[in-house]
Amino acid sequence: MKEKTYIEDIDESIYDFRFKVDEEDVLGRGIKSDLIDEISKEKGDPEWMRQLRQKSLEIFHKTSMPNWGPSIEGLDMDRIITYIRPKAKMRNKWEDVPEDVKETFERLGIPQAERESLSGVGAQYDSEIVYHNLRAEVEKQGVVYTDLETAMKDEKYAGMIQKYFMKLIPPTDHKFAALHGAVWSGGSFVYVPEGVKVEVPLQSYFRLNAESAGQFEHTLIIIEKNSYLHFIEGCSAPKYYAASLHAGCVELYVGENATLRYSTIENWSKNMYNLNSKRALVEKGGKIEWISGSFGSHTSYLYPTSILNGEGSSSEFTGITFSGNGQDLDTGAKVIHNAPNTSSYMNTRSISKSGGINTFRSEVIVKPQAKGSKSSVSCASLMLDSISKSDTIPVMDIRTKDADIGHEAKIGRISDEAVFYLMTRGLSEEEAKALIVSGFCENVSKELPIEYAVEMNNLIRMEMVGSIG
Amino acid sequence: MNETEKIRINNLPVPTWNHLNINFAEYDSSASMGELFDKLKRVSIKPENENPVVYDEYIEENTEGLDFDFTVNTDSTVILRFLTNENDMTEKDIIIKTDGKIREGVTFRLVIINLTKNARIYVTSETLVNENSSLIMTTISLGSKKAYLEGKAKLKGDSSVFDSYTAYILNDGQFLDMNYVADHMGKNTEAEIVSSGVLNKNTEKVSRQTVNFISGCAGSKGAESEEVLLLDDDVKSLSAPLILCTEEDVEGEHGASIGQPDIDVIFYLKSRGIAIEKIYEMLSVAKVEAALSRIGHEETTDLVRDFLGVNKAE
Repeated sequence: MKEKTYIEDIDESIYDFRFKVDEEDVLGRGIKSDLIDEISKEKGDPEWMRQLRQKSLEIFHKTSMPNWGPSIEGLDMDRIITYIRPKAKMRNKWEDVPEDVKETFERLGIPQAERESLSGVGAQYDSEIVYHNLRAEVEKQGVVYTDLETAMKDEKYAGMIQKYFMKLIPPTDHKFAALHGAVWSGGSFVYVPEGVKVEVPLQSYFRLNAESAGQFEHTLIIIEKNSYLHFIEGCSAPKYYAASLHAGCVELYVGENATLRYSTIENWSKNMYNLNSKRALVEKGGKIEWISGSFGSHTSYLYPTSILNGEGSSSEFTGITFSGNGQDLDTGAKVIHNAPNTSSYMNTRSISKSGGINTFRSEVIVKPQAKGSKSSVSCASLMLDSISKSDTIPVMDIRTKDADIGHEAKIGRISDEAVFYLMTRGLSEEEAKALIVSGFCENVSKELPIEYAVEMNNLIRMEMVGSIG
Repeated sequence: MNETEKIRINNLPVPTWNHLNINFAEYDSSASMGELFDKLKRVSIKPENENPVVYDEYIEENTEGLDFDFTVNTDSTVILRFLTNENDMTEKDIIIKTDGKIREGVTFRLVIINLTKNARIYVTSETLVNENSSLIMTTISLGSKKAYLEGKAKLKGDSSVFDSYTAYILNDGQFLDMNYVADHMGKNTEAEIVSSGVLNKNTEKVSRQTVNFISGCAGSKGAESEEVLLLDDDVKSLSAPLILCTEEDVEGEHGASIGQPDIDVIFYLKSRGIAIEKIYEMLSVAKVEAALSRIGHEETTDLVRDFLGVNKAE
């Protein structure tokens, strides 16, 4: 009889705390025209933004739900809170942040991380950014890191935001991009001038505290020629029985010979529908590096997209997805080779257990003009039991002969031979299996910044308990 | 249904993004697929010895579609060859359907050869594979303006096998759309789905491959692979290799290589004095030869080589 190894679900109890939301702070539920105008007024939007919201709402109503991917029938849009007024304006000192909000971020370790290893931090609580700070020495280099609303009202950046906002991911892209265009709130604006290398990462943390709420933050990052930035995004929420929604949007513009590393550890609670959109446009010689860890959410649709628009530009996507009981995580990446001599690399790992569903979905498009381009996709999936599910759905669309495209995918279980070998070297079966699972993830976890690799290890907490199955 | 409508065929078992246009192929028809299938001429074949059954169908203006029914009780081979007479430029739509059932412990070799000219051909094949039995399927598609090929194997019996190899060379505006699916249902089943081909000027190929590990198929293995040589710039190669899995104790893998011929191979052959055009021809023909060697039927080999304009078997 085979022995079964039990691997715990990710322990999310450290994220499962909440504070009461005052009903008078809730602007409204559902997606309605008058509510959109009210949000716009509340936020003091310029007229072009108010119009964009209304146009997006029209598109949202006209666009059908996706007919592929996990079910989102459990998401009742009429119940979702679209906007919660902040208790206070955005601050740049933690002591000025309201006590319960500050306590939330302290429990999540954000102020400590800021002190120890970050150049700047943004913290969003429900609908609005409540804290933003950037180290003085980085600010002196001309780097801008603030909330989008503040930047939009600053005449130095207002034009830039109007030029770039929702141009990479237009509201017509899909239903939830349209929803985002209508109700977006919060998020970050980052600008890195030409030639500036931001040596220490910036981090934004998104916390959704309220029940049945939506978070629709927008992140807009523009890094100029020959610059470098590492941006980290984290997110969590307490667990409720009612569905919550995250429909954020990330637009990244990477200039010539610039490099942007965008790392995400997504650990939403398991009542969350995570329908997030991320896209990068990369100019000549530029590089986008996506590091993506998906651990939370009830349902995810998440496919960071790289548009390699300049000659010699490149993208790397490194992802890990852990799907446990009740989770249906549809993750992957897209790359569009739009210029000559571009290159892309995708490397993903997924683990399914306790009835969890994992889907790796990808697309690689090589346009006729992208001569001399190369792409390599490698995805591996591990099934830890027979009540779970793991699918891989890659697509390659190649339109030039002058391309070199490789793809490999593997799916399977923990190898008996590998366990046996390690046991002959003196490890117990539990230790052997733990080592194999760690090794399976290592390829990806080594790409995470150290503080996030530690967090990931804490998240996975693979307790290997041998039991006779 | 009277007006021409687009019927969805070669459906991907699990859909993906619609903008990729790979979830299904569209087939123009004035009748539903069920109605079209009902009109097909029934052909029942019960191969009874090791001599291959060869069925030739010349596609002409009045050719009817065919619905083959295979009951396979012994190791056997059926070769279906779809042809067009020389100088016949008929633009005929033709549907070929095969349903097979392979008895326990039997190996069935199904060969499909498409050497038609201007026809639009849709060949859909579904076979139930019982315990310890094997379906060895070899398809060579060189003809047709548009060809739609579908091969599905239900590996119902324990230790059943599906081994599929498809070779193609597309030239001058040809379009090929493929869909191969292995459903692993029994324990210790094995599947290998291979497609290998060449795209020359202004051609388009769509390849769907799926290994589907269904809960209970413990000990099963499935592999898909695809090699596509792209020899011109105005070609389009679309691929979706799926692995679906609801069983823990399985091994599934996929590998794909799409692009120009290996530069080292080209360099070596050129250093032997072979012109680049000849090298491309050699590499193209090699893909078809690999399929012909699986078939091992001299007359079919000659027929295919004639079509390609290469030397007959000695």
